Amino acid sequence: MNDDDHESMLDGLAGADLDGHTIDELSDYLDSGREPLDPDIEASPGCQLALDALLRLRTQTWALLKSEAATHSEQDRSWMHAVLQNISLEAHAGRDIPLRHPDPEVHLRITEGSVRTLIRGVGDSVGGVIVGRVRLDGDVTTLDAPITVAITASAAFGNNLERLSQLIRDRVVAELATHTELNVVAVDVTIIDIHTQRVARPEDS
Amino acid sequence: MKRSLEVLPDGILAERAADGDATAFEVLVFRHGSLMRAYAVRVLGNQSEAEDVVQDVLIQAWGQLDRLNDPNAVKSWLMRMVSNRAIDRIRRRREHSEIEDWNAPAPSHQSPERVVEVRMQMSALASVLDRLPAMQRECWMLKETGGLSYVEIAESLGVPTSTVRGQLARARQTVLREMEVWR
Amino acid sequence: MDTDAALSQQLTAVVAATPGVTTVYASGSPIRAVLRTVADAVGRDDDKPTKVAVGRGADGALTIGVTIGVTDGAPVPATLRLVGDAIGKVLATSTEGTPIHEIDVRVCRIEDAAPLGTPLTGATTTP
Repeated sequence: MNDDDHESMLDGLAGADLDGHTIDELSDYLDSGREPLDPDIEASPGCQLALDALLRLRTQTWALLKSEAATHSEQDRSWMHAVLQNISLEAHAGRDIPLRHPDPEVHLRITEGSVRTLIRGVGDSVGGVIVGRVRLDGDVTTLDAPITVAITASAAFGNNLERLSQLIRDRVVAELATHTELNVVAVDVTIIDIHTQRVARPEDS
Repeated sequence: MKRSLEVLPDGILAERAADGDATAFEVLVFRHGSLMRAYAVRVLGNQSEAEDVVQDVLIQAWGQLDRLNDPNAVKSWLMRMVSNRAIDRIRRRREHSEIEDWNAPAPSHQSPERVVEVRMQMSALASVLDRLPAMQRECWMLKETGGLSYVEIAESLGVPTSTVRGQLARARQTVLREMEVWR
Repeated sequence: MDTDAALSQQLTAVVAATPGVTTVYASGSPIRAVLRTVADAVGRDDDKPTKVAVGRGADGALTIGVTIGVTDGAPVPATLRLVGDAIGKVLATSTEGTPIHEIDVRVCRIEDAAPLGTPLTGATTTP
């Protein structure tokens, strides 16, 4: 493309070489994923160039931000630490889970959040497993109420998912028996092999 | 046995953080915080406000992670929170300041750290964006990077949608021209 | 110092000293995250902290409340009972005759007894 063409291309931003379309319109067209397809725009070389340019600008802006982020990441640590010092453990405390005590005035409780952490730790301890979400279903605030533990986890290798599920289940049951008085009637484990995406669903425990 | 959570994908980290795993949240903060800040700087035009906004967002996000429907989308969720908070700041700024010339170019002096950053950046796009008038730059970042719609930007800023369209049209003209993208 | 503050101080010390207790959290304040492997040591802020909440009803009956972190190295119910008993003992000796309305002990954190490995993010220095 020679300089004259280049100049007229730039002027074309105002309308002429965009075959009657505007940059504004083309940007909206891009946003809509070029759907429905506009044959007029698609057939216009000026429009195609403009669309490419707009797309490239978007990509470049992201690249710019990422590079600025990388440059600044060391300095960012200090304010990040400030954030981490200020998040509240209470935010995910959840419900209070009671334990028995002979004296009626004495109330002993563990938070649901701390039990979830316990379960997560136990699940993580099974080789090749990383725990995702942990749920305690049932009324944990009432002594002896039947509780189901629901866990999702990922397994890194082509492991026997059923065997891993059972291992997780057994360890979770044992851990909860040691540290709580929850009446756990079931531990449902949904485990996904992240390589093959094969999923093993909960069975009755 | 503890292992490094740093290799885990966003989705698993967000799930664990939603359940109260502060260590998983820490990894997310370190993974996305810098990008959030870099984006906020370009929307707001200064570093200290950007850091305030991102800190507020992260502290709030910690408590709200369990409401996130798709844990895999935690990064865009965080960026969206940055957009929303930044826009609030901009609107409050405008409400408190005198009538400004929305078309005034950015001030020619820059803070020392900004100058250094731009030099280090050595990016034509960086300097073009820096020189855009404030409102054009804000609208550009919120629309092109933040992915907000014209209506969202307009409503949040308390201006007509046509104003936002106008600002964006001007910003695009300038950036396309100065970036010499035809070459 | 008034009697309730003195009582709180005494109770805080006793709870912190109970085997299995890793942290005594200040009541009434949002509990901050502790991410480093070294647990918050009681008394970091001042020599004799008053973290246990001591309240009195209209009838003078005491309500005691405390939120703690414990280790998973011992069964949590056992640790909790030890704390309850320790508080009870202090009240029996220090507040003779005062009726007790409630003693509330709450675990909000169960810490890994043997954390392994280096800090995740490589940030090794304490603030």
